[in-house]
Amino acid sequence: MDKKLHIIVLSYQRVIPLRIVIDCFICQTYPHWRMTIIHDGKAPEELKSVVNSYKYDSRISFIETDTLNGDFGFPNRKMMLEKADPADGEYLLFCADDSYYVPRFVEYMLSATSNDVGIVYCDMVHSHIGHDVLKGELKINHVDMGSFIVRVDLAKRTGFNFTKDNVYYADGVFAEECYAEGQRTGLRSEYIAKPLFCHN
Amino acid sequence: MILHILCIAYERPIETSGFIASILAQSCPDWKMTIVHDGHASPEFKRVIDFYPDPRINFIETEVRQGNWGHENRKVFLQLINGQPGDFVLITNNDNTYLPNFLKYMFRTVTSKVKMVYCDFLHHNIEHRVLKAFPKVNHIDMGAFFVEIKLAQQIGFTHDEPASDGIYAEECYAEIRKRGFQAAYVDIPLFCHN
Repeated sequence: MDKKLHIIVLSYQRVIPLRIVIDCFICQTYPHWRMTIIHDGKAPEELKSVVNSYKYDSRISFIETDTLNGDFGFPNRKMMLEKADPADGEYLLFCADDSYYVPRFVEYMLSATSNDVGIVYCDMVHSHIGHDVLKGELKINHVDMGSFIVRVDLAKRTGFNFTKDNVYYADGVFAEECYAEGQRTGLRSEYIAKPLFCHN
Repeated sequence: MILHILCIAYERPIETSGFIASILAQSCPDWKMTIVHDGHASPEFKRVIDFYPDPRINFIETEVRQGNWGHENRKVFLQLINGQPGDFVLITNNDNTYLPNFLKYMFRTVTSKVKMVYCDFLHHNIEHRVLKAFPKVNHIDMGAFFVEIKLAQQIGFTHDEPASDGIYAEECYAEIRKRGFQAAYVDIPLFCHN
């Protein structure tokens, strides 16, 4: 059976950037993915209209939370992680609604997986360093939530442990903790030395 | 200073949507775009265009399909752009994507002496690794540089082989240096060639 990636997109009222992230997944060379867009709070009509324009693609689904949870979307990530089902994809990617992925991102990332691979991560072009290339590493300040995929069971065992104190670098904390849990349970990490993701 | 974006398209509505969205998401709003579809566009393609009712975007379909990698349309429509002195022109394709600060970073290198600006890019031909740009064949892509519009129109887009991108870049670079002007280089990947 083909491996599948479940992409969870955290969205908050940015219509045009959201189109970019949806379009770049529809353009992927590898078609076995599923996308859940979760909007923090009630979405404006314009954003709903954008999402509706993709209703022809059954891989994409859309959720709005009842209330605005804030905290850079981390409470929503935590909720989605707890709900994640391997049937939607054996690996998870959390990304923001203004990210860009090259068309072979899913193909490259899933190609690097095997039974004993828990995490696959890649280099990225990052806005915080003037859109220069950041070499990916699974540690704070060297990784972004959108630059690695993690096996669902590993991610669930790790949990998404953000606090008010680490909310600014919770991405890196999650990556570090997934890595440590993978090491503890005999799961390897694979690195792709190509900037397949642009953080905007 | 305005960047005139000339995008030569042939179908691929989703890629086109991503391309347009990446321009609309630019942090610098000083651009205009002409999308030239080679021959009559499909309803799906037109729906994408209709989704972006931005007055800066102009859509044209040619009466007949020219083919040949779009070079004939580049040649013709480059000359039809009505730019002001000091404006620039970027010729690009509808499956490219630009990072949100592309225009901002490129424009801030411009001085009265600078008539061409080029940047690094992610290129699918090298598995999306970074290609360090230089204005010569095999080291540049059409979408990775822009040229002052009057100069570009004087040089013209005159070739029709697959490597015409690079030849046009070489010609622009040579002419700029001959006239005592400069080309500026931004050594960060601001453009993804897909």
